[in-house]
Order: sequence, then C-alpha cells, then structure tokens
Amino acid sequence: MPTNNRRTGYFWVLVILGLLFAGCATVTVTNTSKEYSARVSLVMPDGDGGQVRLVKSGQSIYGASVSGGTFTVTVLPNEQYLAWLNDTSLKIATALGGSALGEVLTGQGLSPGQVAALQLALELIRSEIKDIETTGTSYTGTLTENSEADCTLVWEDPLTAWDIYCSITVNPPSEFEF
Amino acid sequence: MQITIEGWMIFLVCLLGLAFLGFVVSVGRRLLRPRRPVQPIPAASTPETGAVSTVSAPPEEMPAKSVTPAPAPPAKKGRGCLATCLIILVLGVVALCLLGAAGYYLYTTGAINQRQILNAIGQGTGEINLVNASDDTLEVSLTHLDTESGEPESVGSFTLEPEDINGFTSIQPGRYQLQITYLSGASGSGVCTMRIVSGDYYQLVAINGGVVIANKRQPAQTGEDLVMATSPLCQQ
Repeated sequence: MPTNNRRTGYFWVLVILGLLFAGCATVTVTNTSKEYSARVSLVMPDGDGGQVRLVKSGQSIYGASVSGGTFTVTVLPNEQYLAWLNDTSLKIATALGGSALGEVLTGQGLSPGQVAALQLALELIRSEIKDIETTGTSYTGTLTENSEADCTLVWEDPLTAWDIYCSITVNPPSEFEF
Repeated sequence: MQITIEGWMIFLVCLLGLAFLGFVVSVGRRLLRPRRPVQPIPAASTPETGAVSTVSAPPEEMPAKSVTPAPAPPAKKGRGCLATCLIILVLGVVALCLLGAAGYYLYTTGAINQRQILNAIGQGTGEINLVNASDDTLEVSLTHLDTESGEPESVGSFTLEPEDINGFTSIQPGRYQLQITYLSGASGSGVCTMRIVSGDYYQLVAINGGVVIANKRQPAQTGEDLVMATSPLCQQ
C-alpha cells in the first residue's frame, strides 16, 4: 500500500538521520598564559558563525557540535578585531541614528541605498571575521562523532606570539549507540 | 560498533547506487517485455452472406505475395534496447562512483561538511549569530515554540560580554523565540519570534540602543526591517 511504503520510507530516513546525529564532538580551549588574555575564535563543524571570546589567563571556552568535521581555533589579533568591531558598530549607529547617545534604534528615514548597504554590511560580518582570522595564529583539526579536542593556548614570546596545541581523543560510544 | 561518518556516507552512496540500479533494471525490463500479439480484429458481417472475414485469413483470390508473413523485428529491437540499457546502467554506475568519490574527497579534505550537504538538499538546520558591539552584557536565550508536545522548550542560553560573539547552531527548522536582555537595564532589550528553515543564517548585532538583524533569505526593504523591535523577521 502506498501509505505503508511512505511510512516505511519516512521511518528509514529518520533512522539514518538519527544515526548520523548520534554523536557529539566537543572542543575545549584553555589559555595557559599567566599574564595575557587571548581573543579566541572557535568555529565548530556544525556552524559558520562560531564564537569569539576574550579568554583570560587560566580560563577556558567550550564548544560542542552535533556532527563531526573540521573545527578551527584562532587567536585573533586583538587590536585589529576591536578596530573592526568599532567600525561595524559606528556604521550601524550612524545609519540607524543616535544610538551613541543611548537612544532607541528606529531605522526610520533610511534611503533604499542605505538599507541595502547596511543589509550587505551585516551579511559580510562572518567573512570579515574570517579575514581577521587569517592574520592570527590558527589551528584546524578534524573531529569525528564522540571525539573531543583539548586545546591549550601558550604564549611563547612577543615574536612568535601564541601557539596552539590540540590533542584529540575519540571516546568509546555509549551502549545505546550503534 | 562505532560507524564513522565516512562509513555512513559510503553506505548512503551505495544505497543511492542500488536504488538507481533498481530503477534502470526496472525500466529495462519494462522496455524488454514482449508485446502482446495483435489480435485479429473481426470484420463486420456482410449483410448478404453473414460471413466474417479476418485479417489473418485473406480471401483465396488474394495474391500469395500479400499473404507472406512479415519478418519479426521485435527480437532485434529487444537486443538493441538491452544494449542501450546496459550502457545507461554502466554510465550511471560510473557517474555515481565518480560522484561518491568526489564527495568523499571533498568531505575528508574539509571542503564540505555534513551540514553543508544537508543544507544543499534542504534537510539542514539554521544558525543564529550575535555580535555584542554594545557596552552592556547581554543575556541571550532561545526557545522552541512549535514543539510536538505543544509546550515551548528551551534550546539554550548564554551570557555575552561586550565585544564577544556567540550564537546558536544546528537549530532544527521551526518557530523560535529569541530573547535578548541588556543586563544593565538599558534600552534595546527585546524578543524576536523567528521562523528557521534549512540553511538559514540570522546575523544580529547588538549596539547601544538596540539590536539589528539580517537574513540573506529575506533582505530588508526599509530601515525598520533591520531593527529587531520592528523587523518582520521577528514577527513570524
């Protein structure tokens, strides 16, 4: 019967997708420097945007992904990142009006050209951060499901700046997984 | 037994190959199925004699040449069709193998990942990314609204310091409520009720005074569309 065939099809699609998503990959990044904070970008396999955080000495950040794949840890050049952030903020505030004074954004009175420019600026944020990432110290690794990466940031010296070391451990699957 | 993602990809490619093979064989068998012989059509009875003449029984006075049965071409046609089917089959399998090998290579080299593959076939997830360009610490939470149980379910939450970026990934398609709170109580806090579809990427930036939002799938037409408080992206 067509209905039964369709149901069976859905069932197998769900089973396959469920098996594909059965695992979880994690990354922990720890700043081992006793003096310096690091501006860290962490992009997990299941996302484009990732996170950018200021990791203070001795602190860690954590990322999790429902699928395996490539992850990237980057120590961003802080001044360059902050300059970009300031420019982006100013661009939006100038276009949308008066937020520097603490006013509520309204977005009123923008020309179609200004709207399009602002829309494009927002869409380009991810690629602009990627550009900044290319100038920093970076580590790219591959995770499988049920694996975890433990990364440490080591401040070597002003010339070599930061080094990133990662060790990847594959955990045994739980008894409930295929 | 641990099955890696590479193993599943090979398994899926094999499944696709088998499905294609089955399709080609099915089509080939249909094409090769012998056609039913043409049944003689009874002619209308002549009112004078009541006799019935058929095509297979020509009258005596017909010349012998016209009675000679025509050579049967179906066998030759069937062999031609079989060859065509085999060629299509071989080409299909080769194309699938090449496709699978290329996909496997791109996957193992990191050029594509599982998320991109699923997004490409419309079975992917969505993503929300928030840049905190304000002077305030933000509290961000995401709630799934159209759950199977009918009750809203929390997806997750995080605190975002000034100058930091974070977000939510692997969001299943559906209706969600994103709440952003400026912890100092400054103006700008708000709620966004958004609809996530496969491959969606919402980019938000919080500045002093409010949050702006953009999605490539639904570009802003006016300035109000870009502000979270008034954007149609947040009223779905």
